[in-house]
This record gives sequence, C-alpha cells and structure tokens, in this order.
Amino acid sequence: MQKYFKTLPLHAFRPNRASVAAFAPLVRATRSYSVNVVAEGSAIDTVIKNVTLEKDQYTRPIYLDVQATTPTDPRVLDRMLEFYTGVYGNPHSKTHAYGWEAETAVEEARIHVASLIGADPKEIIFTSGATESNNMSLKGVARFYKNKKKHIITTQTEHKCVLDSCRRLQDEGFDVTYLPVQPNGLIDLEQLKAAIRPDTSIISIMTVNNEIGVIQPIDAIGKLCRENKIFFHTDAAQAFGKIPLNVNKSNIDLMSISGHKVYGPKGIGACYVRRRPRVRLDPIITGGGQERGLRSGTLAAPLVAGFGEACRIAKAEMDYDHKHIDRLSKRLTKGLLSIDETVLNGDPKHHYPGCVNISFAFVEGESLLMALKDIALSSGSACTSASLEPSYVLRALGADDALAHSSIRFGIGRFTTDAEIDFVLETVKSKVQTLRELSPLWEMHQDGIDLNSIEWSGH
Amino acid sequence: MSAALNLYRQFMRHGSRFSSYNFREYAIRRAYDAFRSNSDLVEPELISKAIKIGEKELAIVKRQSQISQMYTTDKLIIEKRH
Repeated sequence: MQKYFKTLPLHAFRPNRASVAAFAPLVRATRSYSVNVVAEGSAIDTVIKNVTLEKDQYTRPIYLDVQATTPTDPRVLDRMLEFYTGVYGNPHSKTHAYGWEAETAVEEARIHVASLIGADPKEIIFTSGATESNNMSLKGVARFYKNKKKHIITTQTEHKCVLDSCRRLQDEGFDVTYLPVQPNGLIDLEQLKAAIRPDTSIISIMTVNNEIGVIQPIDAIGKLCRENKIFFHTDAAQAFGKIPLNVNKSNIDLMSISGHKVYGPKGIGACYVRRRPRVRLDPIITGGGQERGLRSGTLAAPLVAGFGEACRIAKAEMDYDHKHIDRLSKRLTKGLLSIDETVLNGDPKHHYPGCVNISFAFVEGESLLMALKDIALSSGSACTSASLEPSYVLRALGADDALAHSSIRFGIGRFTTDAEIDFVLETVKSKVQTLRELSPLWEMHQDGIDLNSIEWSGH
Repeated sequence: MSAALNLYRQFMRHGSRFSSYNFREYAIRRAYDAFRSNSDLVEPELISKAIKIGEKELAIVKRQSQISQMYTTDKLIIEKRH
C-alpha cells in the first residue's frame, strides 16, 4: 500500500482520489482524443475540450499546513541562487577567494540567525534541521555529563524526535521523566519543580507546540533551571521567527531551530549552544571540527545563506506578519467555532495564532480530511500523519479518544490570504454538516441522548 | 513623489506576474502596505533611502516573478472564482 501511494501524484494522495488516479492513463487518452477531433472542427468537441481543460486547470488544493513546512520565500530563493551559480566555494577553504566569499556569506547568515534570538553569532551551530539539533542537544548534554548526572525531564507533548532521543537515552541507562500537561496543554510549574532531582542534567520543553500551538512559560522554566543549575533546552522550531525570543531573558541554554519553518530552505537548521556559562556537548557527528567541533561536515553555503536571509526577513517583518496572521486566525477561529459542537484545543490565551487546532465532535477527523480534499491540512504532525492513530498530543491533554480523533490543525502563515480563509470556512461548514447528517451518533445527540450513558454491544 | 509613484506602479505590474497565487497576492499586499506606511515621510533623506530599498526589492520581484513563470503548477482551486 505504502509503495502504491508513492507513485501517485500530489493531488491523488487523498484515498478517495486514488481510484481516479488508477484510471489516469485512460483519462489522458480521452483528452488527447478530444483534441484530435477538434482539429477536424467539431464545435461540440471544442466545448468538451474547453470544459476538460478548465476543470483540470484548477486542481491544486490551497495550503494550510504551514506547521509541516512553509513555502520558500522568493526573496530567500533570490539570495540562494547566487550560491548555486557563481559563488560555489567551500566556506572552510581558507586559501583562496572562492572560500572567502562563501565564508563571508555564512558568517553574515550566522549574524542574522543570532540577532533573531538575542544571541552571540559564535553561539549558533548550523545543523541539518531541528531534528538534528534536538538529538544533538539531548544526547550531547546527557552523554557529556553522564558520570555525575543521569536524569532528564521532558513533557509528553514534545515532538517525536525529542521523545525518541529520550527513549534511546533510557536504553543507555538514563532516567527520563515525561511530565504530563494540563488540559490546556501547558505544563504545571509546580509539577516540574517536584520532578527536579539533584542529578537532573537537562530539561527539554518546547516553546510552541506544533500541534496545538500553545506557548509554554519558557521564562519561568528558564529561571527554575538556572536556579537549580540544570541546562534548559527548548525546541523552538515553531516559535523561531514568529514570536519574539531572547535566550538571555529566558535563560535558555540550548535551542533547536529549523530553516524551513520560517520560509527558508529545507535541510538547514541551527542549534543555539550557550557559551557563558558554557554548555558542553558530546558531539554526534565528528570529523573536520567545523562549527566549534560540535557538528563536523562542510556547511552548505547556499542553504545557510538562504536561511540567514529568511531570518533577516523574519526579524524585519515580524510585526507585519504577526498582525496579518493574527487577523486571519481570529476570523478562522471565530467562524469555525460558530459551528455546533466544536472545541478549540489548547489554551486560547498562551497561544500562537498561526496554529489553530479544532475538534469537530461527531465527525471522524480522517473522513473530514478526505472530504476537505481541496485544502491541504493535517490532523497532527506530518511525521505521524501516515497513521490513523489519534494524536498523542491531544491524548496527553486528556481529550477523550473521540475528540482526539476528530481534530484538525489549520496553519496560517505569511502567504495565506483572506480568500483562502473564506474558502476554508465555507467548505468546512458544509462538509461537517454533510458528514454529521450521515452519522447515527449525531442523530442520537440531536435527540438528546447522552452517548456516554450507552453501553455498546458487539465489541 | 513621482519617483515613488513610478516605483509603486512597477511593483504592482511585476508583482501581479507571479504565477503562484500566494506569492502574487503577497507581493501586491506587501507593496501596498509598504508604500502606505511610508506615505507620511517628508524628509528628503528618508524618502530617498526608502526608494533605494524599494528599488532593490523591485529587482528581486522582477527576477523572481520571471522564475515563477518558468516553473508553474496547476492553479489553485480558489483561483477559479476570481
């Protein structure tokens, strides 16, 4: 099944389209046939041809999944092209001008990245993305201090790569505490305080959650960590460039950053590693000793330059973008919550507006996604979107399985337009209604039957 | 003043040539808002500085809108309505 999907074009990924795609050769044949006939001058065939073309031309769904990845900003691409054409030197070559010019661009990009989080450029380590940064931070710190400290604290709603790094470390003999979160998605500081042990080496808590968009109280967590001399790592992939961050104000020791979530190129990211007081890591990738020896390997100058440009734009336009996203988000949230029996997941106050996660009761999330084939959406993170399991993040909030199953995440970004939000509201409203009309549960609910009071048979 | 107006017209002309719907809408919205927010500038120095930045950005819009036309995708479902 998996292999079968891979060969299909983008628009065929929704299962109900798969049957159409299976007949693709047939459709193509029909089209060329009608064109041939037109050459003979039949008016009806001209009409048919025009209708087919008209219909085929407008097939691409609109994009509302910016938490998965963002489109590359044309300004970023413009900067990168220079390094894919003329300037191709290795930034680590110290003996000639090709190397120097690439190095200048890399260092300039480093300044842009650092200035977005109030860091020193020397504290920025370029990596392949936030997953690598998370792995590097957690495994690096834990392994370096393993003789004295054996305990790690994280939360249940972290991204998979943090959770999986922790699982690996458990296999190596570390103790990991997975903190639960409150029903609004935020951690309880008292609980965190209680979980701290004398041998805790690192606490990892994400800034903005990728599924529900809640903003964790990182200032308070940072303060707590500093008081207890524990390193504080935060996965800021969804927050970086979108909300103001300052590593010194929030006492952050390590931060994971991704390029393709801020309209930059894919395949590049960064890890902030504090120098004073110094955080020491056991590097995962060793070799030529680039990036302070923490991440060896030749830097991809085009990607780094593009990433730097994306950061420069994000900093210059943070207010402008935020205003736009906030306005669209309010409109979307208000419209969707006006549908009966819908819930906004996550705390509404400590919330990044570009991520709107809503549960539609009495509708199955996957069938709604299929019905919304004209909108590119996801019910959770892209990494887990292949499985039909309800999201582990929503389960951690204590949402019951039915609600966790029926949730959809709407992502709004720099390039989202008013017309797209209108289209989403209109489509979602009508599709939810259609699906509910089919649902016996909805009918029972309408009759005033409490579904929890029913004992289902036949399980 | 006429230099700014001319620049604005060019932004609109080239911005509307992006083949990608989202980039096109953004280019137009961004230029409109930028010129609007700078419309109360009076000091000639600040004006010429803003125009210089605008010219640089315009060059990017010109290049990128052409590239956008070279690599097109199917049109978005909502473009049909416009």
